[in-house]
Amino acid sequence: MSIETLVKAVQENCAEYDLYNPPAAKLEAVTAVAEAFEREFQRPLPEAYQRLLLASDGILENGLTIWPCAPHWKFHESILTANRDLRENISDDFLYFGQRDDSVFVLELATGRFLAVELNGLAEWEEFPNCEAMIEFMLERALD
Amino acid sequence: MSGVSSYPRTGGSYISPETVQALLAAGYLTEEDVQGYREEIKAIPPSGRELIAEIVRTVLKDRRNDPAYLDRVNAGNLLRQEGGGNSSVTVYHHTGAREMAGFTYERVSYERREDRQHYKALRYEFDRKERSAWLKDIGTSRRQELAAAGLSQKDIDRMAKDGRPPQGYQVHHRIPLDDGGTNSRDNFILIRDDVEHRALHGYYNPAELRIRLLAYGEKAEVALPVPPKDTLVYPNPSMSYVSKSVNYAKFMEMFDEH
Repeated sequence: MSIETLVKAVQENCAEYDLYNPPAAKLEAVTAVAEAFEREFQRPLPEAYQRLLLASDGILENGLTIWPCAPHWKFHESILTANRDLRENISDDFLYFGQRDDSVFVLELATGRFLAVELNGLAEWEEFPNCEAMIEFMLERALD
Repeated sequence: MSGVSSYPRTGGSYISPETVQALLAAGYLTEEDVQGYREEIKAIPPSGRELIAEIVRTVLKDRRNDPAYLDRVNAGNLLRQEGGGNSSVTVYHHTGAREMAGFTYERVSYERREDRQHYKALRYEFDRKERSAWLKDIGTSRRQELAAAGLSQKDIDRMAKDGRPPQGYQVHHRIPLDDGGTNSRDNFILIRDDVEHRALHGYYNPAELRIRLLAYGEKAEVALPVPPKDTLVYPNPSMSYVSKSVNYAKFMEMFDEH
């Protein structure tokens, strides 16, 4: 399933319990955060992540957090501030695109690999062919 | 205080004048320690949380890959706790140092699983099956405890029906799967993501720093911060299991040489 289809399914799950569903981010906001991300971290914000933001400005469901363009309501961090903190507090070997339970979903800068990594000991437990596959995997877990 | 206080003289790394001034004020440094630094000290120190970040970054920068140093830090945490000096665990968060009431350091002979396929299978078993089953179980059979911990009826109903945690909560393994942890239900706890779960893991957790240096199949004794055994959820104000901000000096104690 596509990112957009999976996001819709997550939103339907949240709506069933009247839980908070972030609105889609505006194109200008996504463009601005993508520019800021590349300026700060010297890597582009993946196109798949931008597509997700255009469908939902962040995801907060079933233990999964995907950070929005800017903090809002239950989101205390943006994709920028989350990366600043995690790169300082966990490891600057990665860029971070999501967290679920004890795992983070990352780009390993040295190798260009997209990975699921356990926070404790940075144990790698899954590798994805690209960012789109990693985001789809995260969203599928949110639907489990 | 020898570790922190001797570092400006011996490490060859830079500690800012503001940090030196704050360390002096907190009693971590003596005038003798900072000869040559005094003339650079400025009048206004940065905020407490900036200090923590800078001090720990500086202290650990050259030492995060030093297993002997990390072993001493881990041993010190265990010694203090076993001597009655620690009744909680102090952790770093970007908003400041925090004390996690009810958490303790557990002496763990940590061995990274050599069989990585088995480890991966355990992670999938957790993700796809055990996590949801546990949430449904406690959402059904432990409703009063969850409500007492502050979860709403709507959240508990959803846990019972769909096996999903409340928004902003995650399921944490008390003993990690990468070590000998299992997917047995008594190894799970529901923990709030921000700030408690984020603060628990990371760069300034001496046990995790040491674990990162282990090859698969290798072993080290670490002071692993583990949640209180008698609660399903953290924080749990009804049991006084909450995290609170503390002075950075308390957090820094663990990085002293022992």
